[in-house]
Amino acid sequence: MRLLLLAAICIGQFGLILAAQSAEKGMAYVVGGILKPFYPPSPKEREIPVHTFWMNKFPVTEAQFLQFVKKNPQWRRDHIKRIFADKQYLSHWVTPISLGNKINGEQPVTQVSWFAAKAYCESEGKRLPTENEWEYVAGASDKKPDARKDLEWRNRILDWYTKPTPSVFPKVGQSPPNYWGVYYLHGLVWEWVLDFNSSLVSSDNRENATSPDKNRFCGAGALVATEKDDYASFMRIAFRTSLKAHYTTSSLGFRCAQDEKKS
Amino acid sequence: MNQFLMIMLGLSLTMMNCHSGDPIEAILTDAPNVPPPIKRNYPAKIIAHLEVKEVTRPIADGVDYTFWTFGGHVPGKFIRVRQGDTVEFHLQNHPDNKMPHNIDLHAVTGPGGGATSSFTAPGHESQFTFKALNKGLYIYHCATAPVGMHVANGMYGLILVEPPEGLPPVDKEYYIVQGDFYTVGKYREKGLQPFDMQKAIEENATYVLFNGSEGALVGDKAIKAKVGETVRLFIGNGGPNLISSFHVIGEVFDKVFTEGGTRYQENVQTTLVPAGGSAIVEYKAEIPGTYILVDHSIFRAFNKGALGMMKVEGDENKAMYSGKEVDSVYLADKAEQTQAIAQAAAASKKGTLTKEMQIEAGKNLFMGTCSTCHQNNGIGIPGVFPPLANSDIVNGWDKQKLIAAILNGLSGPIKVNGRDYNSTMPPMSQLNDDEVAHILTFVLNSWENKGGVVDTEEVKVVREATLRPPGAAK
Amino acid sequence: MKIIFLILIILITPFSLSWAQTVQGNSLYDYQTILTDQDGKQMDFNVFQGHPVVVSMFYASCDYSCPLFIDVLKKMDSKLDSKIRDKIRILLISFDPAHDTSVVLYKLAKQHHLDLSRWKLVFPSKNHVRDLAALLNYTYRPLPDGGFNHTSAITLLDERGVILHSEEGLQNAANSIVEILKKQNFPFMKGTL
Repeated sequence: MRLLLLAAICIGQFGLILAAQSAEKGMAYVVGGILKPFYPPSPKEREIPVHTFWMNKFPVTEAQFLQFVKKNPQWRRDHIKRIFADKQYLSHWVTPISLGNKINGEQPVTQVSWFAAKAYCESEGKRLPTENEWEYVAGASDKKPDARKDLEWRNRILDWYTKPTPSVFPKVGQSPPNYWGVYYLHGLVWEWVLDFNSSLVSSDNRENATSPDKNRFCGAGALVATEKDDYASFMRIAFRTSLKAHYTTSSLGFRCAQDEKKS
Repeated sequence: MNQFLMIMLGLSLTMMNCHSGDPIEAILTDAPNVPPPIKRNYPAKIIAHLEVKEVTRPIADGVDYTFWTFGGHVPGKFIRVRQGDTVEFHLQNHPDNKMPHNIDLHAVTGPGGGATSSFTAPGHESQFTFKALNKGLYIYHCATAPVGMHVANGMYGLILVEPPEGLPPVDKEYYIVQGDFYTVGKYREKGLQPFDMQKAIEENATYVLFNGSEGALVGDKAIKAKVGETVRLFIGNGGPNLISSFHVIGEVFDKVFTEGGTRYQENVQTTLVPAGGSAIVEYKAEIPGTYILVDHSIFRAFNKGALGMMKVEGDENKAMYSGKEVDSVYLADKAEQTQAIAQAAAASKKGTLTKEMQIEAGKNLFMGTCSTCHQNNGIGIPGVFPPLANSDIVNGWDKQKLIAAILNGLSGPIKVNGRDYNSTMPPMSQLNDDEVAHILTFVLNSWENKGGVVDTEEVKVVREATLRPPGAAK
Repeated sequence: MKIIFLILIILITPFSLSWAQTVQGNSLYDYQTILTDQDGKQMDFNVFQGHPVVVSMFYASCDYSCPLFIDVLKKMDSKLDSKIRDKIRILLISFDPAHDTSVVLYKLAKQHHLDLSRWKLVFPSKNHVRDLAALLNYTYRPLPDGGFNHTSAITLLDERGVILHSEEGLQNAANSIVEILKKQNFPFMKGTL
């Protein structure tokens, strides 16, 4: 009996080591380049350099986030400070430290705030990707690093945005990766980015057709969409600007990134 | 002196309490219902809760669409306040929603009509307060990027700001909003249809609808009145693109408050309702019968769904109208048709479908779809549309070839009953397998044709064997 | 009797409101970070705990609205009743720790004749700027030329660090805060803190 127990512990630890290794492997190497944003933040920023970096191949899963919460109890839903997460934070879990039967551990975690997502990535020595990094990788189809002029690809992405949130999310990683080896930037969940609060888009989109409200914004920056009909990127910007750092929603998850030199 | 002050203070406090002290929760209704008239003779604080829900529901029979709604339905809930009221507005974005939303009420004087103050992430709530300064009937809508898409998905409704003295009493009030919809599949193509942004940009509507679905105002759901009653319709147009030429067949509007404003025009046949605008229409129901509500840009009514009904019950008045119902012509391809088709569909499911039922359903489907070209009696138009009556093609081709002709269309030179034709029949693949089987069975058993039965399975086999371009109906 | 009851309700309401807010316990001071002020002194974020604090974010090299921004805050300060003003503290946090050193902040304070017993100009550590902006509902973005694009907002914290009011648009926000401070019955006015 004791032997059995020991064996179980060994296997458990071995499993942890394996998990740690696959986490290292779980990142894709993204060669830097130029991002041409659909919605240049200013006329000077039609072409934005993106440095080479690493990005998680998959969004962080429920099971992974559960481990994090167990190790860092200040991020449990019953311990967290309200300024860091709203009342819906991890509210879909059965208890503060268990998912329950209804949630598959391999689904992407949702109902997490920006502070919590950021803390998770930092606990792994990583960080959240920036909006530019995220958009740079998200512009790739399975064949091309920049597929954003590809109408068919664009329409496929749009398809997800026009459907309501499913009651059960599919498991992470069931469709092919994109050019960089990154999975599911589209079609699964929205994702936090480090600088989600950087878009100086008015909450009334129509105001942005002209110059930004001088009363609200310091500094210049006429917002000009280069591709007015790219509804998907419009919707991502709209979604991000609706968020506050302590917000959580049932379709919002995240993945981590890392600077090139660290890996 | 002190006592006097106390009394004055007391008076003013009591007045505050009764006039603006107790906030009133607004009664909100789904179309076609309208909240009751306001009886208050003082301005009050009104609290309105409106929940945004993204829902998938039928846009037409057998066709689903993902609507974004203010309150679960298209149009959004009707809001009724009194001029001078202070409205505390709570916009709730349901946690299961995917999109952020906001609300621009055209009744609001202030930046963005409330849009800037109400931008709300899923699972959250925004609150803002406005004073209803101007009386009138106003559209409200979502103004979140991309605005056109949020509106095209059904995010609009009406808010009525009643004048302080109220609107003159009427017997019936109803709420109708027109909107245009853009789907990847064509009109009535079955299944869940996604939004088509290209068609929306081109203003090429697939559906033009009253109250968000074909059939929202027909049959049992028709609006009702009794002879002698005065009816008031609150009409809105959500757009996003099309202007409505609102008309009720067989009725003259006694009064139209054009564009939802203060003044009215009298004796109006058709009134324009701008996208993002409204109209209040009043008339007396004089003659019993079924009246058809249309956008008189008439292809929208009969080919895109912009059709509703008002049923007037009561005694005939022969002095005013001889008695032949105005809707009989128009309903030939709508009301009766649906009944026979529904019967056949139910029987088909139960396995009790007979040839006679098929013929009856097929006849109704034929009238309205095929009869446009082949004519009601199947003789076609010589040299233009080939005949189906006593036709060597109908009697000579095998069933597979006939089924394929309906599903895939036919074009190019063809000889029928000794005469040359060279035109194009479009593919009718939006018809489902049952419908194609019924139509062919009807044709085979009509006009001296050879007879026979086509069943659903046979159509299914042909459909599955046919390759189609991506995006086309299967 | 009814009248007295009504008067009571009206008198009690502001208290019950402010209690409800503090009970929720959303203190920003639960976020711990070190700030450095215009004198090079290091302190915790909750340096002004116990006082109502007006907080805003800025960067010193902004030549468009930042000079205006300090003027708006000074004007707001001058409109306050002196008894209230003595209790209020004003904390201005820089987006730009790379450039806004203590020397720069000190110069700015002197240039605007700020009362440094009640005002503090501070910079956070580089890694904590975005957290602070997020907590204070700021939107900001570094620009390629070294400046920043940002919303201009003013936030009023109560004695515990709970947000009482936060509003975008400098002039409107300043006016609102003056109004709130006129009306609000803070515990400090009853001598509870």
